[in-house]
Amino acid sequence: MALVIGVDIGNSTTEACVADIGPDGSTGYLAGALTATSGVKGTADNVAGVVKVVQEVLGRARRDPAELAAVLVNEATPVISGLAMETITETIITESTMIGHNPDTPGGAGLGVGTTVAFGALGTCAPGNTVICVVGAGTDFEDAAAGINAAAARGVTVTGAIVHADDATLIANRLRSPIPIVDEVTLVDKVPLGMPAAVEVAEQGRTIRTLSNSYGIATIFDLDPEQTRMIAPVARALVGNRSAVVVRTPSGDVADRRIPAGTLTLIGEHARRSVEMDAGAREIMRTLRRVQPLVDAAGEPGTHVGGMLATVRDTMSELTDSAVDGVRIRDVLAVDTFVPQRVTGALAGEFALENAVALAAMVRTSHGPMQALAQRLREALEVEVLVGGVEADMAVLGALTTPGTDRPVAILDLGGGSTDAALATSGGVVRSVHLAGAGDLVTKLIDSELGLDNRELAEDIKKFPLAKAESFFHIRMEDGTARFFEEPLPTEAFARVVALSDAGLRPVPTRHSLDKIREVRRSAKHKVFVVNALRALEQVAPGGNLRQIGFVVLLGGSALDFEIPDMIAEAVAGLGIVCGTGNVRGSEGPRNAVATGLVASHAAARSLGVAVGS
Amino acid sequence: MHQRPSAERHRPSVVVRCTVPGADSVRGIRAGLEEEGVPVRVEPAPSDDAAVLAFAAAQASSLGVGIGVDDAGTVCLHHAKRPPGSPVLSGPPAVARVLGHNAARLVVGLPLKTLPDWQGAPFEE
Repeated sequence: MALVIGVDIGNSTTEACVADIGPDGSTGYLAGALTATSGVKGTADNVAGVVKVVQEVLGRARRDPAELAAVLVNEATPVISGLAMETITETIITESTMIGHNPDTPGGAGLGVGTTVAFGALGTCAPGNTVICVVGAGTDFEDAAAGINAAAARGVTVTGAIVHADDATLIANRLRSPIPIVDEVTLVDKVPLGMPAAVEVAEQGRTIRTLSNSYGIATIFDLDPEQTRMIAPVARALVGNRSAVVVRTPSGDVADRRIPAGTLTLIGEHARRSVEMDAGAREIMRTLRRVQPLVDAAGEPGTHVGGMLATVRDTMSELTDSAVDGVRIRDVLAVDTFVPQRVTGALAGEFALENAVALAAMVRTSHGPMQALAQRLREALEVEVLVGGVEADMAVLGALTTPGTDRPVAILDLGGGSTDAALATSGGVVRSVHLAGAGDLVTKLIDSELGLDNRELAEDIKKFPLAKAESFFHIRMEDGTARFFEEPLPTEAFARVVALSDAGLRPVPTRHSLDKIREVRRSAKHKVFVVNALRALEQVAPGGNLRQIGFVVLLGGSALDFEIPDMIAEAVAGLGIVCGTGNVRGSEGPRNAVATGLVASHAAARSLGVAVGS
Repeated sequence: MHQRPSAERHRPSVVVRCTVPGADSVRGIRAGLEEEGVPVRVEPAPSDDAAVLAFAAAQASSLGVGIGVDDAGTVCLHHAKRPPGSPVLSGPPAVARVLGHNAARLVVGLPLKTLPDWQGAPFEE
């Protein structure tokens, strides 16, 4: 009997599997273990992680390190991936033409039209004037209400108000005749004075009707068709708000600018094609299919896409310690997304949903110094270290220990940086691909689409189901069921959407509804993993025909996700494929496939050696 | 002291108990609640700790939300179903307005406004 350990050094985790191998190749698996990879995969920095996982797996199997015959390490696939994202549209308000935010509590209701006047100057307005009062910071709500009432008593018609503080309801409640009031306008000092303006507040539960309608604005300001055309973007920007202000300035406008995103050039083995980033993710991916296999990609210098690819190249060259121009991009995944961004020129911190393109790129590097790593491991572990086995072959061998699988089998390794696939035909031939885009891209999409700017929180939203804290003592899950708590929930969680993380409830500090967050989470997973699963299977399937694949086994960290495996299974359901999350050795779930494959391969070689020898 | 009417006889409202009549804090609290559109009832109270006053006020409120203001003007927000020693939030007179908003938000089920001096400490429970 020989005690061996298979070790798989991955991008983020290092996994091990320990087994007794008999002289006839019979294998008795003893235990598995997993730890974080130390350093960049394939470099000497990995030694610490490998030593740790070897000790751990021996401890679990209750075996003495002295018994160890060999440690088996795979030939690490030298692929790494990078991410970049850029917005391609921008909303700009010029000359403070509008305020279109949604304060929690605007005051009054209805539409008011008049000339803007500062609160301090209200006393100087002549009777008969029709005005909109602009109340700056520091004015008490009682004084504001008294001032407006006094002006009204003198015959000045005050039709609406724009207020700095969160005082709209307080002021409206103190007026003799109610007017619409928009509050929480942070930059109220920038509202142009002496200009015709309109203030609209909708009843609770409704949205504005006049200022979100181009002809509504045209009617108020008596605009001609050409001017109406100019004001149309303002109306569009206000759709869905409960309150809004439009100021008619001589050349005020809301511009919806498209940022020149540039051209992406995809260089294939046989062809070379360019595609505009503006064309969207679908068109980019279609172009990619025409030039496959990809040899490199280039972005037009001085444009967004040029910057994005430069970012990826710089990161990769730094990580792998190689020259920037030696970095070759072997796959890209483009994803359409949107990013809530602060509107340029806004007065109340308004956000607009801007279009953006996210680009994941996969880079093939020169082979890592595996032999040097093996030597370092030999010294550290004081045991024979064998480097052998292509990662994809080993993964297939490991995956085949899942009960109920058989060749032809395809594996989909859903990782953090890349989605890898391999297909083993009945004849034993293995084909593999490495595609850009995986778990890290999903996290990035969730982070930016929800405007969180918090990677850790985005990670929790990706990994865990949502709930809403409906009281201090109970939460409502996304499936509608409720869960009660003995201890009161923290104040920060009250009435908020929370992610049910391992560490407890994690509040999401945004105004997004639970349904909205769930939708963003699921669509991000779909855009990355379902798209990549189909792309990967198409590339490894014989003749690109998915029906030739009998079994698909999902592996890797993201195969542990609570919904990604179901989404992929659903997408391939119509193709007569058996698809599910792997269960390596019937016990390890989607983990440990490569480590197990190394042991299985070693055992097979050993039995062959015995057969030849006898 | 006059006989306190039972909570059932009042229309639903947040109850504020204050040891100093006409305290500045009370104006801020009232304004916060009014802006959010939730009724409030202010009652005088004997000198005591703000948290104790707040819990008793929450018990007296048919909405289960109470605020206590002590001699120093410290404001404490409490909910009837929480343990007495664990108020929702409390702070100096300067945050009375925000606590008024938050009392209303507890009633209508909206996320609370963060206190100006409260930097959103990392979440732990």
